[in-house]
Amino acid sequence: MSERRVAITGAGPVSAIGTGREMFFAALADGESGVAPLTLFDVEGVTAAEIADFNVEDYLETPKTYLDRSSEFAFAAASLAIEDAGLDVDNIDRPRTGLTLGSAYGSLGTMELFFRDVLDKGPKFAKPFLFPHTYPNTAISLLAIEYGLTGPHLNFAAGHVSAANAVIAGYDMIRAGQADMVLAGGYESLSEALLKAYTLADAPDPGDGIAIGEGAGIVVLEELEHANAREVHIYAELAGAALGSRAGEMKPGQAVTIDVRRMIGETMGAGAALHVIAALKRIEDGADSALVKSLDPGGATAAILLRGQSPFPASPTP
Amino acid sequence: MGVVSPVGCTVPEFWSALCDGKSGIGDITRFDTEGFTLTRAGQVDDTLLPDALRSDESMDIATRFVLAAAEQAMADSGLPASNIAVTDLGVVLSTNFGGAASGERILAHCHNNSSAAFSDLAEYSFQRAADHVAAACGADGPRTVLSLSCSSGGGAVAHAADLVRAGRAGAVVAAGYDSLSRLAWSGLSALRTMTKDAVRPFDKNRSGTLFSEGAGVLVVEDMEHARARGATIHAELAGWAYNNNAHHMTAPAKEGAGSAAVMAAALELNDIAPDSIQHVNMHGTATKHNDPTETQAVKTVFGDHATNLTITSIKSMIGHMMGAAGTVEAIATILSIRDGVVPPTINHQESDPDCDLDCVFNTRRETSIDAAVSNSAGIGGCNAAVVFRRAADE
Repeated sequence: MSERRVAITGAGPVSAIGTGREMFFAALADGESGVAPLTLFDVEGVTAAEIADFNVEDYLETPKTYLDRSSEFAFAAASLAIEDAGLDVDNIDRPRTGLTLGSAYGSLGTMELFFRDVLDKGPKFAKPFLFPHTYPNTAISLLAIEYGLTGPHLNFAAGHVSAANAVIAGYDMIRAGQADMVLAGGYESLSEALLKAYTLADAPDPGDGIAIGEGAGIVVLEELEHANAREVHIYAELAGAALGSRAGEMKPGQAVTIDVRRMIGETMGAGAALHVIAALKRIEDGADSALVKSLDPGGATAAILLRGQSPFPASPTP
Repeated sequence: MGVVSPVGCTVPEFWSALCDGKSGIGDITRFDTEGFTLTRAGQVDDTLLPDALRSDESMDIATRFVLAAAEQAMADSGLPASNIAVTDLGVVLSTNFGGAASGERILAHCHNNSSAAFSDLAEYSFQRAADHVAAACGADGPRTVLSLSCSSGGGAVAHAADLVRAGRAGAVVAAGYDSLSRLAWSGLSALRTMTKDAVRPFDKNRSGTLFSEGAGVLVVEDMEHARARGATIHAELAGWAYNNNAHHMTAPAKEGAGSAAVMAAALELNDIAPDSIQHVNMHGTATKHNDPTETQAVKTVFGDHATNLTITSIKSMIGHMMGAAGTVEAIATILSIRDGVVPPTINHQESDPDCDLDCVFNTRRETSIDAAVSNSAGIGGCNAAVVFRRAADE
């Protein structure tokens, strides 16, 4: 069996400095920062990379009665990535299309909304419709329903390495032959509960001197020959990945991440996916390769190696 | 393997209680049940936890469950004492609610400024439990947490196998855990999937499930490595898969299409013939919709062979352990292969023609099993299935 290689053929970034690949790449080139005083949340004394101008309806296939803010970002990132990769979702091989996402805190905002009624009025007044929107897998499962994605489905809740775990799981799925395409990435939203927790006396600096942020990033991972057959633009090859947990060996801010983190904030569970997309820009600008490193404060680590090489040779046949 | 469950906090206690058809359902004391209609669940007896963990209130109770089970599993694996060390020992956790009791303090603080500390957010954070488990097990390899609602545990075992197969870990501590909490119970009550009666899977009079708490942990290791160090191999993890119905957040797919697809994919991964399977440990929640659709899914996958399968749902005894369900059911499946015993589905009264597989009702059955499937499903349409086989001699 020839080795299956993995191409990145689409990118959907949602960030404080820009949403959609073109805006995001342009903002990266300008070096502008999205960190500013909060406007959407009533928490004093916090600066954050907040996404102030965002309308989820621009990205929905079907109307929704309710979505958590983090799910909204995931929906936007998926829609943008699908469009960017030129995918006709109605005509893909759905069981062979995977979905792997990650988020550190998921729908914490909706969980707080749900629990408010329990605290104020008692459990009988808890709203049944809100509860399914508080699950850590709410966003990924709603996306599977939205796009009919019945293939491999993994949702990570692994702190700041969530998105890196999701991208690497997607990479492994394609290499192992479990899928031909995977939508992979992460999403994270600010919420009053999270921001207030970070104003507590014993709170650490969320991002090692970098403001807390929100956003989402989803990339389309595609088996190289599958991508070539579609004659689609290939941004980069996902050429290697590593997972570990050697605290201290990698510091946040190495490789491509530091400048990007200053601009988009510490986006926690979404971080690595947005950094992968930022690395695609580097490759588009001529870099041979880019390494994205991801580190959770608790010690888990991940690294993703991207290689730019165009045109991509077809895999050798044995 | 390691277990913390409502019917015992060691694998032998858990297994003998299951085989004896013992119920672990009782009154909730984990949290204040004032205002709730349903106040019975499968609760862990904390006095059975190791002393050091029972008294360590710096950690969320859910984290202590998974740590207690992980310590058992590591001791059982023989890895700490082995002369042949494992390279890149990984940790894959799965949970639905994580450190929910700690999370409640963060949510309450947000709403009414009640007392909370940032450490509550840290203890709620799912990855924190993985850090604790990694430290306790000396695991320096991949470390991650999955959350796939009630298929989480099956997903953790499956993803552990992914990491071993991809060469990212020599072995993985695969763990599912959850604890009862006011937060989770509010939501689970609101969903109206729970019963005031007993949990009666595959019974005409079934009226819902009861949720419960605990942890199940399996050490998933590269087969060659396990053999080389002379480990006791409980079973071969021969197939695994995870998918989504892509149908509805809370309703099962028509005719159990997603469940059927996930079981079929798990069998196909290593070309396991469906008719080589003798037993399915079912998701079997005893809700109105789950049991007939899951029955239909088994028929779809196994065809005529479905009638030869023995099935059971241990949720009848221990309730639905949420993020831990898939891992404790995987452990029960392995023990059924090891001992040739299928634990009963208790509380059975009346047959349901829509749930007409050969379910082992009320008393255990002794029957030789070489290969079996453990099936899981959850909110959001998530499914996972794992296939175990008796490990062949070298």
